[in-house]
Amino acid sequence: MKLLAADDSEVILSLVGLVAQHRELDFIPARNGTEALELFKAVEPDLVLTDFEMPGLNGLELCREFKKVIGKRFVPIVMMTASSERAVRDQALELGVIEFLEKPLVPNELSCRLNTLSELARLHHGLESYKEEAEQEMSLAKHILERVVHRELERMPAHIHMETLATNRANGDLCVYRRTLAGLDRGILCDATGHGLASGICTLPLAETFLSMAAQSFRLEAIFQEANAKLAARLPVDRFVCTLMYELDPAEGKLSVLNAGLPNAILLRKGGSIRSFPSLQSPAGIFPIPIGEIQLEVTNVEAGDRFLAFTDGLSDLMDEDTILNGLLRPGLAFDLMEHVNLIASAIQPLSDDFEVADDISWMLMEVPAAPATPAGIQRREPREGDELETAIFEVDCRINPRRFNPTDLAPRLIMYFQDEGMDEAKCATLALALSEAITNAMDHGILGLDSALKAQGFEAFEAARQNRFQALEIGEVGIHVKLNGTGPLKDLRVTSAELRVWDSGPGFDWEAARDRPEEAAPNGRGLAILRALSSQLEFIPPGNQITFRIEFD
Amino acid sequence: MHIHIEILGKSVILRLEGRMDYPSHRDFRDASDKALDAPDADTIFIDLALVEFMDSAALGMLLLLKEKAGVRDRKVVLRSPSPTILQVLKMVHFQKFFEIQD
Repeated sequence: MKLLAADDSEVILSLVGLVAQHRELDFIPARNGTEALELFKAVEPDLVLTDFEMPGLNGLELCREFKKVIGKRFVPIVMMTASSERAVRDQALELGVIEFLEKPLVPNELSCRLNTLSELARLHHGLESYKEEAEQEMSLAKHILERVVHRELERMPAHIHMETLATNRANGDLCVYRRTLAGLDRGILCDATGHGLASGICTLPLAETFLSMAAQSFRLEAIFQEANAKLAARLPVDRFVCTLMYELDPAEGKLSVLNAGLPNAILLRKGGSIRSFPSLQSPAGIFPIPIGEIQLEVTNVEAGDRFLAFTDGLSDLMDEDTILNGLLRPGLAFDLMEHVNLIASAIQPLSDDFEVADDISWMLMEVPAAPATPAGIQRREPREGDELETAIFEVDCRINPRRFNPTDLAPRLIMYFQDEGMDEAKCATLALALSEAITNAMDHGILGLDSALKAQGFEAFEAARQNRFQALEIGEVGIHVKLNGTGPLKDLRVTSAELRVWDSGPGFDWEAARDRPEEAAPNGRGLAILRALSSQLEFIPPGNQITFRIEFD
Repeated sequence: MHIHIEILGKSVILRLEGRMDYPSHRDFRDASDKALDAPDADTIFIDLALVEFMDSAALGMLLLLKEKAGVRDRKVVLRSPSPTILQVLKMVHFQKFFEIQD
């Protein structure tokens, strides 16, 4: 450590020099204020010992000059005074002097004081570099977290708003939106234990899993199971992530909610009735949960229904009544952005008053009118002069649905095609067609459910599905996928897909189903989609097998 | 938060009072370690009757205690939570991991 000592007395300087040597400090003497200032700038000492009365700049003026050049560095300054100069002490304190030594100097006292101060300077430097390191790490983590989140939030549709308000420099909460290939709205709210950087890191595996799986037709339960297993394996035992996932299918008028540890989410229907979605499982990251035990709730929704979900940072600030009446405001006209501003302004004063210890995340959605055609539908008829195709991929499988869920296979297969560079629009079309066909095979072929049951509500349909599945003893689902392509070997393009899905069920009267107009069978949407997508749709008697062909541009 | 430890034969009772949150974690860990070191104990009761607030860090502390206790073949039981605290425990489905007694 470097000690700069300024005094016009040689006797004082040599005494200080001896003490400094004893304390292993680098000794830099200055005989007047001007010399001291120059040395201060040149050498950047860690400690300064200065006399008050000196020719040129006196001690006070010297300190004033130091202040101009010192910047953010912490340099303890000790001033030597004779007792009659006590009056200047206040000024000196203002200028950064932290200790006074009375003359005549006592070597022992000088030695102890210098030692204490050099320890203090050392500690301060240590803290400064620690702080700088921490800030760099924080900056890096923020950079990564923002890339994960903001890319998706930018693409949120007009009827959904999701937001997090961090209380710390890095957010321990996370919210992400993802539109599926089939045109469904999906999102996730996460609240990791604690807040700040460490918590933000805990949410990363969950966010990444959600982002990669949510765009495909993976079920929410499958996404949660995968993310939960990853977190349980990676996080220490006292860390977990409370989370809520939702999915809105505007065409079917269906809302699905998977709540694992967040406060009740609220659905305010246009008619005024309220439906709560409580947490039905423990938060992600505690223990792996088998997919069969993960609980999802589904319900019918209509255009104009409002859905609000939030982390406990918000419910710590306001009670359920205030949230419902103050934020959702039943009975009042709804304009999403106006409502978002209402919520933000309601939260602001509360979080200023109350010592906000927790981050706040929330999402608000208004169910839009059903789209005219489901997203991703593009139908192309085969044309004269189409090039000859060759088969470039073919897979045939049969699955026991009690052991392996056929619904979970399709998204994984499509993900494979996507990873192999197949165009996203083609993947979307294929995903939609395959999942509709497999859902049909499972729900109607194997489990014998009637779409008409959905008119009683999705809850009734789901309950019936669960019951029948538990009671199922035998059954098989078969899937055959073939992709054809044309073009030179270096640049093969997928131009069509041939699919066949069959089940071991009794079949059904497909001709009667075809004759029913859309309005009469709004929930038999699956067949309508397949018809819209494919150029050659055929049912093989007795109706438990469907083959179809999709032409791609 | 105040923590009072009582050892009664094979049971150790940790009575918690006040706010259970991140600043309490060191005290809780010290008290837990004492409880775990009690030679004949097989069950550690965490008495929550006087706990007015629990955050996620507190829940984490309980999970950590459960893991340490499990290693030594001891059980952790949560006792007498107030309705507010019980609601917090139920939201995270802690009844799956702990026996919760009145």
